[in-house]
Amino acid sequence: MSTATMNANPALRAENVSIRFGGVQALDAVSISAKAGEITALIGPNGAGKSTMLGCISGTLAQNQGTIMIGDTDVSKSSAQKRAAMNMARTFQSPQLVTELTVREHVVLAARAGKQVRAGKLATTGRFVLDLIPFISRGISKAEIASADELINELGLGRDKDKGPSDLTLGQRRLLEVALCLATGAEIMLFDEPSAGLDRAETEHLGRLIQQLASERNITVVLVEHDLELVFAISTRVFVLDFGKLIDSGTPAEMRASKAVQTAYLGTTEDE
Amino acid sequence: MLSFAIAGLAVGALYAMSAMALVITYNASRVFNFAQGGMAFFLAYCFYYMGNPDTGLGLNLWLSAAIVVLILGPLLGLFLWWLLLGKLGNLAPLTKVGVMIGLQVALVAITTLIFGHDPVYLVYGPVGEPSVIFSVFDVNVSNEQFIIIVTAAIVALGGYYVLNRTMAGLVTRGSVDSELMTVLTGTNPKFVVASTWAIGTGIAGLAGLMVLPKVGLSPGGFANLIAASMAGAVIGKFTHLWRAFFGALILGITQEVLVLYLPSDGLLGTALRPSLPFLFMVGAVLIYSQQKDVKADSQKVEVAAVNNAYEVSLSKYLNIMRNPKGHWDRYVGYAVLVVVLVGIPILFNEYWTGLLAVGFCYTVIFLSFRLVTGEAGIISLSQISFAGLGVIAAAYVVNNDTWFGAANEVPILVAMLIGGVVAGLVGTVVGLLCLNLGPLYAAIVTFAFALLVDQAVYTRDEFSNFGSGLPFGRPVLFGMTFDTPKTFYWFGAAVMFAVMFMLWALRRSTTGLVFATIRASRVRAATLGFDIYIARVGVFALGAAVAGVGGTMVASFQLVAFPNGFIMTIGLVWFALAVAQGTSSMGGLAAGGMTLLLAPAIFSEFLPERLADLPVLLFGLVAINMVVDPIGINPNLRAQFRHLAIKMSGGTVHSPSYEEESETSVPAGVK
Repeated sequence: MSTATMNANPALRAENVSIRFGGVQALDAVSISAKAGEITALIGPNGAGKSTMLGCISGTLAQNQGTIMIGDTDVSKSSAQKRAAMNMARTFQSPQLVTELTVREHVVLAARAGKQVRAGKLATTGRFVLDLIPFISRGISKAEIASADELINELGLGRDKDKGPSDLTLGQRRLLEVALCLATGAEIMLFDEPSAGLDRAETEHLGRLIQQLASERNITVVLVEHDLELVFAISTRVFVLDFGKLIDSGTPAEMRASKAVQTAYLGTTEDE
Repeated sequence: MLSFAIAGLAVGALYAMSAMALVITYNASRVFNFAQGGMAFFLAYCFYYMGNPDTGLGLNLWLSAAIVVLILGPLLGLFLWWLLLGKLGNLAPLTKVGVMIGLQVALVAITTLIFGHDPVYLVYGPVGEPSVIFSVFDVNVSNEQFIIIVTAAIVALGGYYVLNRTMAGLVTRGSVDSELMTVLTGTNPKFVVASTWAIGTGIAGLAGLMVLPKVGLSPGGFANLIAASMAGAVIGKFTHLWRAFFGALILGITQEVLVLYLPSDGLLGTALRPSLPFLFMVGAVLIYSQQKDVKADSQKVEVAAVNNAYEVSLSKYLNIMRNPKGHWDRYVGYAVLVVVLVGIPILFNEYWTGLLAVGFCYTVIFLSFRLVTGEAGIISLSQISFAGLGVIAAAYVVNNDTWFGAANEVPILVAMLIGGVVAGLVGTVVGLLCLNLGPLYAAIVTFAFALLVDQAVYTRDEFSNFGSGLPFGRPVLFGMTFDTPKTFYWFGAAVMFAVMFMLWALRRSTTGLVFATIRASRVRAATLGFDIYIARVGVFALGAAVAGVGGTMVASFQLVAFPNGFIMTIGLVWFALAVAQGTSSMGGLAAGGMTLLLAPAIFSEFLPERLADLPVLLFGLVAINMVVDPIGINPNLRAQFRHLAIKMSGGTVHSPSYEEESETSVPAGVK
């Protein structure tokens, strides 16, 4: 394993995380960490356990063993809601979008959720009684539309803002997932294969956006990605998984040269 | 004690057989058979017709039973599978429940249309007149009890053996998880599922015949059997045969043995035994909600629901409604609405205007489905009970002189609000108990709750006033008395539009956006930080309160609070009608509320009395139509109207991307 396995002051830490699905050990004592202002990538072949790791970190999956820390807080047993309330947001490999909402409504909802989180309130719908009163209930304001449109345009979805997810291509749906994450204003963002379905130009644009996020807003980014070009171009640190185990970690340059990584991706020949 | 235990064993054996039928069909098809009561009712009537020497064929009772259980039952199961049940596998939970409730309603209506709707109370089962055949420790055991216990044991052992020890059982269990794998084993998965429906319906028929001497032949008579067998199925997590069997068996024994220990009157004496199926279910739900596997399984159902026919249908609808052209059509709709609303009291007499006024009241109750199902995605079969509880609470307050002063001094409007609050509070408790797990658990627990209210609350004389209902009055507001059908028409319309206005506000608010997210993806809602459990319980309680207020409006028009108008069997018809119209559509729910009143009235004008159940049959059939039209009739009509408006405005409509993908994502060779 290479030099920088653990950061000095990581914003996010997962230690010895294990999870089993029936007879399959999906993760086996995997430890990773991610620092604010950096992009930490999680790579590996299909079935390596990358998305499962994101599930454990975000609370959508409950690990059998191991610890998840956000800053100094142990969130290992906290719900996904509580982790979201600690300024964590994520995208899904299979987009989890709402057929009934337009692109713009998705972004507005995520922005409102983020605002409640920042106000220190878990985004319950406790105010739903007020929302029943026609003149008090809050429809989408002009300011919210303007703010949402800015983000939507930035991600290249401007022409589709009044469409629903069923009218978007798969790539656009993934971008909308990213937009949701960004709209929450979260401090920790987990991206699960955001570039799948995008063409090269769109992928490069997305890469620049994620880089800006990390550096300018000091966001902790964990990126699960199959596109190694993108990973090596933008990430600060790379963790490599294979068959549920952490096989190597280090800088992109180190991982590009790593024998273990090459073996995991390309396999071994018999004479080796 | 032993005699009660043996009687309980026989009752429990009946419940257990019926529970096994539910588990067997669910295991193979992932469809919960809410129509099992209707199937058993139909088959029991066939048995009665075949065996009755006076009005039927007069066949030997054993021969009649054999024909029903071994031939008619399986044929009915096969026919329904071919027609309907085989098409349900991949649909959303709401669609499945809606269709099955529609089938239940339709089967009962068909049975009464064929055989007549007068209940028959004295009916023998296959055994004929009961007689004692032997004694155990001085306790007599009747031939009926003996046959029931032995039959249940044979069915249980046979079912266990087939499912767990034979290739057929393995294939049956495997076909649920992967049809493709079943194909690869050389078995036709359709054959497997069809066979289980045939067997399940046969067993349901068998339980139906054996319960006949206890409950007679009436649509509501089978409700206890079904509620108890559902409790067994819940205990068995819908898939474990033995757990379901013993859960139902213990329930039956407990019910009978409790007779020994409970007083014959008072709340405990009258309410506890009928409450047992509900209590057993709630107990099981509370235990299972702590278990990861059940939670994960219910989540799997939710996730599966995301990419289903409902979503495709909804996408098509939204695709049309989001088209930038043709939005002028809504003004046409508003204009027609105003003309009709104002025209009715002018053009129609007091009778028809009054009927429409009650239609507004029922629409308020139906709008509670929009909150509970349309917004929060909860399948509730107890909205009718919340309406009934609202009625009882309001009438009790008005007629009781201990709480708010002398009788008849509490203003009716205040009583209506109290009715809503009480229904809301009860709704909070039911919501807390049933919303921990997936949609199917909620549907079944609310079904059992509705039955509990029927048997433990409505039957109490202080609420039912010895069957004649407590007197209730009309509201007074700013000096207006609403004491004629025409004035009440405007009161009903005002309340209905006020509730609609509230629901409109809710949908456009943060809460509305959150509920849309919860319906589509609970995982997405959770990762955005929304506490979906609290929100769902809150909206469930609010739905109960709205239903309660609607119920008090009905009582107000009728001037009597008559809880028997709010029983579970009627509630199933309401549910069928609401989901068929579209629970997200306020126009659809208004159409449902109106149809509920107008269809029977119109049919009774033109058709003979023996066809009185024809509207109910139609309500059931429109719910069954959800197989091809999962979002409901009204949204589809609305989309067609908008489509026309778009074309008239020179626009075009494209297919949504989901549809294009679904056409190409089917692997080659998989049909």
